[in-house]
Amino acid sequence: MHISEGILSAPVLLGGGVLTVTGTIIGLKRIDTEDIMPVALLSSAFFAAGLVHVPLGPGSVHLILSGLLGLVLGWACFPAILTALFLQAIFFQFGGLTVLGVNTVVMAGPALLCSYLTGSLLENSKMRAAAAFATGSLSILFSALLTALILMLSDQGFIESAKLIIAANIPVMLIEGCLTLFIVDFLTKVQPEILRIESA
Amino acid sequence: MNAPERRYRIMFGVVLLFFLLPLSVAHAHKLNIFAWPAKDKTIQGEAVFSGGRKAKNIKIIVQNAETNVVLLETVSDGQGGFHFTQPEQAVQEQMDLLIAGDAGEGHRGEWLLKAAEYITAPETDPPAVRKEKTTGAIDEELVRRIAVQEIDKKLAPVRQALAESRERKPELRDILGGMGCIVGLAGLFVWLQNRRKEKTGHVHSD
Repeated sequence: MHISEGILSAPVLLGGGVLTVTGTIIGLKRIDTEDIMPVALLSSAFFAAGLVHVPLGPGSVHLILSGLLGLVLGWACFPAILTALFLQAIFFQFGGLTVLGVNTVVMAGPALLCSYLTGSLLENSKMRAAAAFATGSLSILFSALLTALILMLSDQGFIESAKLIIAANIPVMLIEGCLTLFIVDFLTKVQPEILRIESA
Repeated sequence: MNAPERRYRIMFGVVLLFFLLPLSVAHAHKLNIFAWPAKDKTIQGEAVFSGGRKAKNIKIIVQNAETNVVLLETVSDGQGGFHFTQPEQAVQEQMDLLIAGDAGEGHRGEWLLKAAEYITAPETDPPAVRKEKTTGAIDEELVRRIAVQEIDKKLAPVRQALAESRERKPELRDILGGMGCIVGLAGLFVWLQNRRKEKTGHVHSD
């Protein structure tokens, strides 16, 4: 869901930039010295995931991992995703630099939102799996909706765009949900503090 | 090894897992537009997503690269290809052409076709005018025109390959480079944080 350069209007780009800067500043303030490694590792994972494809039927999909980043990093997912998207833009021209702010909000905003919605459910060992799956898949769904909304602001029909983008990303939603579920399960056993859960 | 070391090794392992997935990078992050001059004063082009998927039936817009005035619009075919006749105005004014493709869903790509690339010397009059030439003598102009046409035909696939090779595909070194940048930035961040803490008299102790 990288939006390319040259599509969005200046006010939209500016709004995206402002939101991203705000989120990034808040995120950076919350990173403690000992938290920095997960931030760096997950940012790297996000960067690499966007480049690696998994063959699926006639085409292929790539991992996004925004849900996981939201869960583990909280507000720090903003600087993490910003950095990864910035590097993708300058290395491969994926997305773009003027549109970097918007793309970051599109990815990080829903991730953060989902982590707030479902984060507390992770404590409950019965709800944990469902919460993790929901975080992973809903992050993608909200990112798709947000993308369609932003495109609408630049004169593209919302319903049509939304249908296309969501439909294209349904396999990704399922994969992300499963992946987030597995990783959360793994982390719960190995290092629950990273998810702010009392040891299981 | 103690707990913090162990958890970082595990996290590193998780990240490394991604490298075990097949590394051919095919996905629709970027829409690539390629264009080159073809025979009979046409311009031929191709719209392809990064990774190889053809962009079928997308809008193609040809503009004056300097003024952004739209000269013509067309649509790519089922193979992502498109072609159009060189606009008269463009040839007369020696315009650089900006050929843009819009695939919807936020995907847009561009290709700049410089005037020097597609504008060839003006063709001479067709052979009908040259009736006064002695019969039997080889009509030089005709031969020249045929030669140019044949060369254009042969060159078209070469030009296409050249245009496509300009696209840079992500490689392992790029992924590792990006990750190195991220880790470096993280280290810089920690260093700055520590300096700030030292200055304010606190020393972070855990």
